[in-house]
Amino acid sequence: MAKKKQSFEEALERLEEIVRNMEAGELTLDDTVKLYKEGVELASFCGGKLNDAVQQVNILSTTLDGQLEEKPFVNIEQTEEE
Amino acid sequence: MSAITEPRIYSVSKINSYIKTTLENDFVLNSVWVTGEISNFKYHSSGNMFFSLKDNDSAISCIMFKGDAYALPFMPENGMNVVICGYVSVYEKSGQYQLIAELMKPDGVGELTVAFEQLKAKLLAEGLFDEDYKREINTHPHNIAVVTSPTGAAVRDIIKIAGARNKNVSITVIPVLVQGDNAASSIAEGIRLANKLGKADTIIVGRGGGSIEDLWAFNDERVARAVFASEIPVISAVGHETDFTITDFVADMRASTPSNAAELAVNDEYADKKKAEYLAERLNTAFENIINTKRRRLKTTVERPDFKKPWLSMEEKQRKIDYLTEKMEYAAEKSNTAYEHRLAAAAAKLDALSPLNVLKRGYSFTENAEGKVITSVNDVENGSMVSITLNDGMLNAVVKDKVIFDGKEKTEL
Repeated sequence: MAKKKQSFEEALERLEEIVRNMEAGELTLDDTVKLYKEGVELASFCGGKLNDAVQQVNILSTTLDGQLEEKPFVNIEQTEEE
Repeated sequence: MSAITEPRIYSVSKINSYIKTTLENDFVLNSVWVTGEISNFKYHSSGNMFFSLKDNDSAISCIMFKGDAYALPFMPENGMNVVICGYVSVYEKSGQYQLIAELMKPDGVGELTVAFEQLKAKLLAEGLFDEDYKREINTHPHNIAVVTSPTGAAVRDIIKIAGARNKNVSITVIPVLVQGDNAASSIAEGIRLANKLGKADTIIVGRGGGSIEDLWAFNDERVARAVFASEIPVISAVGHETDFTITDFVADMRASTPSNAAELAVNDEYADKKKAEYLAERLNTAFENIINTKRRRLKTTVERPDFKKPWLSMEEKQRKIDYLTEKMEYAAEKSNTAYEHRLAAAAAKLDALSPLNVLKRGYSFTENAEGKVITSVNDVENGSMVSITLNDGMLNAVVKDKVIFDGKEKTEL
């Protein structure tokens, strides 16, 4: 399958479709092999998305000249009751 | 006429002014609580409210000036039972006394409850709660904007839960005031900022639990309209499970708590991974099944006798060919014999027609010197040489005389 930018959802949806098609049988050997290959790639794509990322949290602030900027959010302890 | 009996005559203005001063200085009337039902309510374009307050037996004209009217959290309506705090005064122009209302509260139910119900009814009528306007929440977002207090419990809970589910989803906190006089405009502005920034897939707007007064900003019309106007889908997360605010009704999705909002906004990476693994397993099973089925079919085909012992059928075919060849040869032979018979018959027929046989019967034919057969006496002259062919030989002769038959008897030469 073409290596275009694909969302996780789209990949998972396509994988589900392929599995349903294959489970229904009725496929030629050519199609079976083609779909299986695509499915394996999708499965590894969906699995590959998962990694040990570090959660990124920013806080929006306004600079002196009125521009918006994001700075890392320091998760300070609750200093006051809401 | 004594001057003592002379009455003091006042102008209308004077007397009204006197009454007004008297009433306003009365220690009961200058600050009084009155309860009754509102009727003839008019909200004048000047911002002043005019109405009557009545009970079963009586009525009093009332006015609430725009400064106080503006501060009312709810809108007075005809038939509404209220308690008013104010003072009694006189409108000097007409000499009518009236109750100047400075405070007004619904009688029996809380004013916030009334305000809530009123705004709810208004926005409902406008269609702001319609399901048609609710947008889908992106189930696999890249960025979430959280419009809330940066110091509250809500932001902490959201960051914690979101991080536990999926660390690939970044969070942008948009700090706002969530209670106090400026909270509503601050929250509305925060929602607009999130849209201006434009990178979030979902906005979470909310705060942790509190009293109805604490949560009040989320019942403000400005917040409701900002949520409705948001291009980015909004999840509301205000207070606890039992708290319902106007923002909840307008939002595309309501979360029961801030933690729940994080669950609704951020997909669970682990569950996704499990799902992908499960699908990969099914993919392999399905592939094996298909291949096995095809293999079985191939095997069945290969094991058919034609495939297994092809020579058997070859022998049979050879036998058939032999049989047919034999049959053909026989037929050919038979047809040759018939042909021979037919040939003999035709030959006999030909034989019968041969001129030689005619000669045997005593006939002859005559040729001139050039060997041309003579069929008429006119073809020869007297004295010319002719040859006459008989059955067993030839006569060379000279023509002596010609007799032409003219329908009579023919003569021997």
